[in-house]
Amino acid sequence: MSDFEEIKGQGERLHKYSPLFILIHVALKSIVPLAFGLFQSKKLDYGMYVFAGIGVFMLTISVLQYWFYHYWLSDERIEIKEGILFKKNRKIPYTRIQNVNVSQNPLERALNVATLQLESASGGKPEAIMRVVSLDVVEQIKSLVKKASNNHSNVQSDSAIDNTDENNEQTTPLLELSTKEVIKYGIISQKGLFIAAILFSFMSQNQALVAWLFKYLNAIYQVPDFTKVTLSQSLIYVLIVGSIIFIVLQLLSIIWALLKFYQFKIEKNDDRLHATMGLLSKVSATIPLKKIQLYRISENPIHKYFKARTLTIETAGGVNTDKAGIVMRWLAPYISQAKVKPFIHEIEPKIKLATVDWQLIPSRAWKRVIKKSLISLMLFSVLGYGITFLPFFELKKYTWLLPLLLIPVTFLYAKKYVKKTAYSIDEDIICFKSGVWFGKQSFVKISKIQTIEIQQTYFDRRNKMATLEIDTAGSNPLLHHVKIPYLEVTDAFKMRRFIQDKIKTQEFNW
Amino acid sequence: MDNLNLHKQERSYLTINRMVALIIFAIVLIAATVITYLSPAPYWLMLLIDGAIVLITAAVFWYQGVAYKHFSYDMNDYGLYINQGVIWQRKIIVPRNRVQHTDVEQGPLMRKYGLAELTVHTAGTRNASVKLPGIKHELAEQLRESLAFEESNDAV
Repeated sequence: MSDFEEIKGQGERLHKYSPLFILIHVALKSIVPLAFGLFQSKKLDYGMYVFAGIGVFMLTISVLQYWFYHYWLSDERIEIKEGILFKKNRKIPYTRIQNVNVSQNPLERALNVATLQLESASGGKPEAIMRVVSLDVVEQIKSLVKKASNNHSNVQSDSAIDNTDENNEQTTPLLELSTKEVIKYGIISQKGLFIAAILFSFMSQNQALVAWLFKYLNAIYQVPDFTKVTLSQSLIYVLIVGSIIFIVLQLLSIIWALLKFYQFKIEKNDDRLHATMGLLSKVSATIPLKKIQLYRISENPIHKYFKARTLTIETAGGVNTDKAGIVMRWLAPYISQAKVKPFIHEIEPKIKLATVDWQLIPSRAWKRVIKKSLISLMLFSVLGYGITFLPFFELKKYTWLLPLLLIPVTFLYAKKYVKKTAYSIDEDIICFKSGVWFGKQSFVKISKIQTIEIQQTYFDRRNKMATLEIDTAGSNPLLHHVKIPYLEVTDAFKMRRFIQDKIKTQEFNW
Repeated sequence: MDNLNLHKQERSYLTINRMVALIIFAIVLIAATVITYLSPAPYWLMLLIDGAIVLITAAVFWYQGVAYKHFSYDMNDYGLYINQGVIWQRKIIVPRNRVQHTDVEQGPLMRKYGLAELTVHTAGTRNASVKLPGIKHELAEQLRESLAFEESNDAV
């Protein structure tokens, strides 16, 4: 077959605007440290020279990168040659490409080009990033990949024949977000806090900028001298500043949500999901359903107020690092509570939300939860007591008693904890939910389980309890996953037995 | 519970671990003695520091023994079982058909005693690589073979 012949000819180049976008990409990645250096160097002229030098260097590099990037599209695969000093040559069969992700920033949209990202199942970094090709090429590659994957699946199962090709082009989207819903999601996310924290840490590292800002702020508004104002005056002042900060945080959150999720739309084609979103930078991503490792439903108090939920997923490959580029984590940033069940059913019918048989963790666990909280409270008050002896803290002697006021809260917390922590397991799915104020539910298909772990601390053994933890591909250790605490030991081992019996007959297929 | 036929690590693995600890602490002890001897610190301080180091060494020896006692493994139809931990005990199962690839490693001391460490890699994240140290080299190879057989059947 011609497949194994060396590909002849020069191949295709990226779009002619490509160097511009490579330059922008490289510049954006290094602009923060550069700006930093510029601000901090006392001799500005010298800094300018360095800046200009680096600029010219980056420009040259981007043109060279463009010059040395070639690709060939054959019937079966895409071949890419790139690299200036270190040559890279990649052959990616279309059947191995899992995701074709397209992103467009405003400039790219104005020039009718897009950044294309090809992902395989291997995870980690994308197989290939084509920084800026024309939209025609995007469509061409998409259709090649689609054709190949359809052929491939036909070989595997004949039943797929009747629902291939064009008849699934006009599917109605599973979910579309209105601008209002995106704004609501912004408020739910409270991402403004996060952005403010980044800004704050940036400021605290850059004294020159802060001094400069203060100079201008002082010109507009004179901050009162706190030693001279009365208590009521300062209270009003705190109130005003507090509400301004609050409003700014909300606005930041909303802006973040709009930038990211404006016109969010997700639709299902055969065995893959297709999502588009974004205000300035349009992102479009495909996720093969079988690549999803974990489904997560989250609710915080604001969710409850809006009667909504957020649905996220974890996929194999790309643990949401910057290098992985576009990673789809949101199935539905904002979805009304009533729609969750049909929506999940549409995507993974094996998750039967309506009939999940939630098993609560043993109620005697509340004693352990309360002991845990009491011990940490005690540590706090001991710490508080210790602090009162330090000369530079002018605290009243009874400060250490303050944490003890929280004892009733810990009592309520523990009682609620055992009512909110539950699990369920059936033939296909293992579910786990927890969280007293920030409720989270995780669902993992048993065929996606990698390892099973039973953990016992000293206290677990004393109480005949254990924790069961499930590991999946592409899981973020910091986020909610299936880790069921305070199980009866016998139940934990029973579940492990059940899972391992199931896994034995189920191959893992990404 | 499961009918596991749990095995222990080789006794010589504990010996190696203790030897390594002994060498490290001996160096620390000599260094501490020399430094306190040369410094104007009083004689009893030197004895105190040395005594503390000896005590810590003894504690480490004891802990290594307990850890060795608490470590066990088995390999059956389901896959690899590893039980470990003294205070925080972990029992891990790596199912056979979830093994991506395996490594057998040998350090210089381990080679002297014919020991090896088997590492089993999965597609997971927290348990992406599960280690089984302190087993006979031939056994490690054997276990690796039996897992590799399964790998070739995998249709990823």
